[in-house]
Amino acid sequence: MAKSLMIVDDSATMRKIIMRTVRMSGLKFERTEEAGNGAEALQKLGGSPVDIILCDVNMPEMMGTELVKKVRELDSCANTKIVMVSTESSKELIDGVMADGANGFINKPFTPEKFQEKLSPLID
Amino acid sequence: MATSQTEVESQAVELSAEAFEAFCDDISGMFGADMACEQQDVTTVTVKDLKKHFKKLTAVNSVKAEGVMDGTFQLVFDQGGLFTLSGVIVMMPANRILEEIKRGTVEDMEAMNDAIGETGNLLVGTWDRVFREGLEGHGHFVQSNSFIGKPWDEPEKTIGLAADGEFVFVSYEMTIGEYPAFKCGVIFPRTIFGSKSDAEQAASAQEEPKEKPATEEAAATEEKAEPAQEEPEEKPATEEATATEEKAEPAQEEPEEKPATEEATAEQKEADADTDASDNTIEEKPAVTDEKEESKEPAAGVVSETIQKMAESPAVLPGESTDIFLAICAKDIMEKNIIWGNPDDSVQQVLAKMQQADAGYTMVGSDGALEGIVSKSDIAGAISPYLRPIFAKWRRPLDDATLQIKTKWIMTRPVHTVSPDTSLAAIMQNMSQLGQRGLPVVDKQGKVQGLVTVFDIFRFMLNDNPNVSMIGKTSKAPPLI
Repeated sequence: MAKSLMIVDDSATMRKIIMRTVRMSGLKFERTEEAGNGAEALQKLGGSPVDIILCDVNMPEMMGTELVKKVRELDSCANTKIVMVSTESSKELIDGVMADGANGFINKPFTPEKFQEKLSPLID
Repeated sequence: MATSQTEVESQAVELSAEAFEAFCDDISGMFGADMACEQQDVTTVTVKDLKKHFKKLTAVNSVKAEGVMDGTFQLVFDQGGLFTLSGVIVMMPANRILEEIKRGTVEDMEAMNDAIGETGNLLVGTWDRVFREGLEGHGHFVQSNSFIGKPWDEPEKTIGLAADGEFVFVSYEMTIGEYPAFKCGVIFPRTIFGSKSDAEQAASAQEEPKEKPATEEAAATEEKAEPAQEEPEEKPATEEATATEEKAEPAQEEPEEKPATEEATAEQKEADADTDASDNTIEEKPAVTDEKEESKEPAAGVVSETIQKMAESPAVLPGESTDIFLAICAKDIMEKNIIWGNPDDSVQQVLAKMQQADAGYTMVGSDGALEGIVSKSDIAGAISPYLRPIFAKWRRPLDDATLQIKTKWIMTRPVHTVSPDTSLAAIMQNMSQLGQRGLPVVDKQGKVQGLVTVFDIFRFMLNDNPNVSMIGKTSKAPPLI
């Protein structure tokens, strides 16, 4: 079944890097979306939900941690998996965001293998 | 638990090597670039010494540390590192990276600010991971500010470094692939290794990380910049200068150290020649204004716009979408070393020039004004097949006469050209429609600036596509004879 992906990061460069790395990992997505912050992501998700969200933590307007909570309130995104992608990796942060409804955490810098490892179980 | 200042300092210096090496591994893994680093020196320095190490444009990532290391330290890259790293990350063509390492301007850096910021972000991520694994009592590191420019005249304001402080500077030489080696390092204020109680460490480690604006961060650093109790007494100026000279490794490509007065004059000259230090300053993600002065180096300035377009465009892999073909322009990939001929040159003369330069085309005209273009196909059509070595034994005296054919009789005209800002997509479309393998790049004044051939496009695509491997050197054009 065709899958869709949304990358949420305030850096356009990082969105490119993530997209490139996802493709290098061999994972296939029929549709990909991008958003520069949590608010933009929510707006796009309202019109068309996705299967996987790769989300940065520190972003302007709406932080990734806040986006996780908001997405979990959306009925249309009940099956959407959220994986945080961040340089910040303190236990408190990870535990907190997982408790709020995130499904995984990938540390920056990352590799294609890491995406394969973390995303494959969520796609299958 | 490592609680003494000396122990923490020693471990931090040791882990800095691991952290830079891990960063090299991470970038290699992410971008398929062969990256390595080697520790050069561990010295005690002042801001004046750092200025000698990093005279050109510099990238400084300020990192807020919490836990057993408490305060702000700096990760610093020289101009070469700045352009090489960010260029590799945005998949800039290799020849462009090399050009910007040498002649990159503040405007070029500004255009790559997002990539530079992200490079710093990735670097801090790696450092945090290595220190979490290796330093007991480590809380976390978070990037608090990134600065690009010349910070040493106002270090407190620009990068939160006390102007009169003494720092531990660990310098490294880093390489990425075939690019020239560059300098980087870490600057630890001695105050960052100050002892804290277990309770204090636990409390600060649990604090939620919050990025502060640059000014706030600088103020916070200023507050913390009080000398530690164990800090050594300040040396007399002359003694300090001597010690620093002994310790400081001369920077690559930089002139020998001069006496103080001479140095001051030289610095003044340098300041006059360059743009003002404050002009070189780029805070993280600045607003792009239309009032920006035109770059003194038009080529580099224009490329910055290209990279900016790349950064603003949706994420794509080269070769998988047309976006990158729209972002890359003729000027980014064209061959600038082109062969020129005169309309009255003989085929033999033109052929000799093309063979000598291994070029596929000769421009016909003078002073950059184009009258025609001669390709190897044009020559092949003009000369007798019996002039080819393989048929040499059947060569007739009459065949030699064909070598005296004038260029103007065989050149193609009118010449189809593109402008320096023509997108790669448009170039490819033109080539397909016209059936031409090369298009001269002509500016608004009608002067030829370069030539884009199908081989330049192939090289660009191969260099940027990790799924395609290349063995050996790509020839510029297939040999004719």
